[in-house]
Amino acid sequence: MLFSYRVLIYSYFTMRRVCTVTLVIILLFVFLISCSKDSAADSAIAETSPSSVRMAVAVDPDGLDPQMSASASTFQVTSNIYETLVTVDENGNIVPCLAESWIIADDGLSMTFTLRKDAMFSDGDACDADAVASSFMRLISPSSARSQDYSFISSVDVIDEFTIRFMFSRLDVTALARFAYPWSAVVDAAHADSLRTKPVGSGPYMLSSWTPQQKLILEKNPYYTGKCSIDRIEFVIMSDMTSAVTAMKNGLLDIILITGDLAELFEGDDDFTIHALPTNGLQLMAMNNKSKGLDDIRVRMAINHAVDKKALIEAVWWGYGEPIGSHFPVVLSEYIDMNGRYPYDPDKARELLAEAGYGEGDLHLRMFLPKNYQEYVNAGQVIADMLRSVGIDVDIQIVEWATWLSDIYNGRDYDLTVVGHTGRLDSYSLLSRYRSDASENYFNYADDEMDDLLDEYIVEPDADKRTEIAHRMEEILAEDVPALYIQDPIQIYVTDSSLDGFRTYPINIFRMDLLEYKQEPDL
Amino acid sequence: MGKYIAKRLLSSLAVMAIVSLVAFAALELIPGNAALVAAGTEGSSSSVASLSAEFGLDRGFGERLLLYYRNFLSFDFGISSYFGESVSTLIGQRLGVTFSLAFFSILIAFIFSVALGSAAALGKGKFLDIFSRTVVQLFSSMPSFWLSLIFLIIFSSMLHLVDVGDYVSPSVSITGYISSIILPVIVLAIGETGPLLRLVRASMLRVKNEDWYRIGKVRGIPRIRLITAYALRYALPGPLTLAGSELAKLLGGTAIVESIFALPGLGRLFLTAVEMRDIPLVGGIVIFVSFLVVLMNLLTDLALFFSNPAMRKAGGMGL
Repeated sequence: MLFSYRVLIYSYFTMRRVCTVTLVIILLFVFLISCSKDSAADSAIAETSPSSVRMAVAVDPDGLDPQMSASASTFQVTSNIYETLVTVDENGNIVPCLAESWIIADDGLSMTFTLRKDAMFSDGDACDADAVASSFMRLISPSSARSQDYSFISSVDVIDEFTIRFMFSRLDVTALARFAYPWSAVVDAAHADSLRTKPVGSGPYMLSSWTPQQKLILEKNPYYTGKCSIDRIEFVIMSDMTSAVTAMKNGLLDIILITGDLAELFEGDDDFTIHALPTNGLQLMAMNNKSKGLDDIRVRMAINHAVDKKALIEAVWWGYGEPIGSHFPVVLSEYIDMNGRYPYDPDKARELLAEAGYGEGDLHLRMFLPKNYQEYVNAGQVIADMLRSVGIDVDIQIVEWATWLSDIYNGRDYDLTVVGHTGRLDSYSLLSRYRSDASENYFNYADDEMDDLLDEYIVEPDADKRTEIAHRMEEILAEDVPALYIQDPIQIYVTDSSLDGFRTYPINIFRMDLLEYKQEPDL
Repeated sequence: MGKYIAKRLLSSLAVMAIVSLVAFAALELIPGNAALVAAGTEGSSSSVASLSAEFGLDRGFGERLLLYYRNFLSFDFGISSYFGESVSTLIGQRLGVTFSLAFFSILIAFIFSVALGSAAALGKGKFLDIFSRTVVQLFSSMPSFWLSLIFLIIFSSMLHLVDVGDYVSPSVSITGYISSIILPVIVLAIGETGPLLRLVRASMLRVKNEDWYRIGKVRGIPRIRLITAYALRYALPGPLTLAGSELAKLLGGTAIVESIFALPGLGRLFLTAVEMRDIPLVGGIVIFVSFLVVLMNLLTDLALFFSNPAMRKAGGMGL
């Protein structure tokens, strides 16, 4: 060992030996690297078979156990590995998935599902009523992260091999939709402890390999009998948008999600198709309804009058977004347009502030922006400028996401913050965070009528009456403005133009099994 | 000598213990924890409690600290709370990328600096001196994220010479491996060349003024031999030490460059671990990197020890 150092150092100083030694070191090094533990992912060197799809994603899933996660990046992968009892089409209608049919009892207090007979987990185990029951027992157990969402289920009964019945302890008209959300996916409970890294589900794909921050590869589930034309899906984790766009342009990717400013790079190019699709989601500037100043509705109204949403959406999202006036995405059927309630009117804003007793510069507000979401930081800065121009003093602080979650979202120590929310299939799940006692009510909003309407909605069997209640709730929020509702975002996906069947859904699912190539792609 | 190495390794154990304690305490003190991050804004109130239990965050501070150190002692760094994967697997997957980037960029920077730096010193004030200093100064004052993006646009987007977003292990394809790391290696090498080149040039200038150098010249020792056999040998310990500590720094991760070139390196992993309050992963990386730094410093000292006859004869470094 020591001797070799001596040789190494001495030989530095004769040019010929320098070269040899360097070469030997490099070779040794490359050899070591090759021997070092590498995941199966490297076998993936661009052997782009006709039926493989590569999609860039910005962040990794946080494990692959859908019942343990709340993040969109996880569901985008797990919705291809697992199946839910029912699922949704692109318009939000409930359609069969693992269950081919279902019956809701007249009193709404039980639901019976008939399962598909050929469903099997990717390890070859049958995905029958027993398996579904074990999966749901795991979901509703007290230690589950979703136990509260499914607390209305009182028992799960296996009727026969392919029939399962859920008994409810109280009426919940949104119950069916709750069997479609990706976190209710049926998992193989026999592998419960290892699902985060070794997922086992009955969906069209199974995990082939996952190297965090590099690549996650799915391959066809050999036991899946449904239609599924793409053999292999690669999620390439690329946190930088420039590299993703470069890779897409060079033909190394088939699907990417881009920001509005980059759309023109792909416009007019026959190799790509641009999909600008409205999402079931919304972005808002939350206000702390209990903090000084903001507890006065006139101040909240003034803030709404002071912000030019069109200009804001143009500046931050390059115009890709649909302005909203209430906590309700445009794509949902119960949506009503509330944009006219407090239109952009800076003079009116100044008047309202004066009425509330705040002259020029009297009102000081702290705005906290989550660093990890550049669009929210940008939006906050634009809004702050607009608020300053009507005489509100805004102090911006940019905080890290975990800090934001702890101090702002859960700690509610803030005045203003900009963030986004994903949509739900029904108005109750979407708006229940405005219940005065809800733990997710970081607005500190409290309104008796709102609480009552939420209670009514969930037990109202008549769909038309439910729509009426939803409209009223939208009106209340548009009136009381516990937040500044900005927009329903439009997401822009670019896909390889030979790829067919690309769709987005009103919940966080991504259906790779429905993709197919129009013809043989160029190799 | 053996005693010296043993002493160094022992003190490094203490360093690692302290550094990992600081990392643990820092994550405890800053707001937010792994359960809050996992529950996000779309989970329900039951999520945070059950996720805390799942990640072991419901235990007391002391108990968790004990568990944290027990894991290290058993060489089991635990399970990452964010990825759900074992920490040692995650670190293992990153060694290839991290070592490649650090090693090759320092190697290139060192060779380049020694060649150009001595040439510049020997021809002080002449064209090569001014030219090399200007160009190197220019390049090394460019921020690495900007340089990375420019390289990406020129070499990948416009010229289609290399592909981004696919780290290829050399065991799969040597050309693929080179193509996947060449741009980041060059970006990092450019950043390292600036200080190294200046140091080499300064040391060589000092050598030029030494009496023995002039005598050598007068005695007619061939110029090449005078430089390679005597001057460089005298001038290099400084730059070598710097290269060693820079190598250690790069081994600790190059998060920005890794992110831009979509390489799964240690720096990017560490950044995510901190953002997600992933205590087991942060602890594992801190221990691993501090071990590497200690090791690199030790190796640099040994290299100096053997390259300097004066030190060697004296038993070296006051041991």
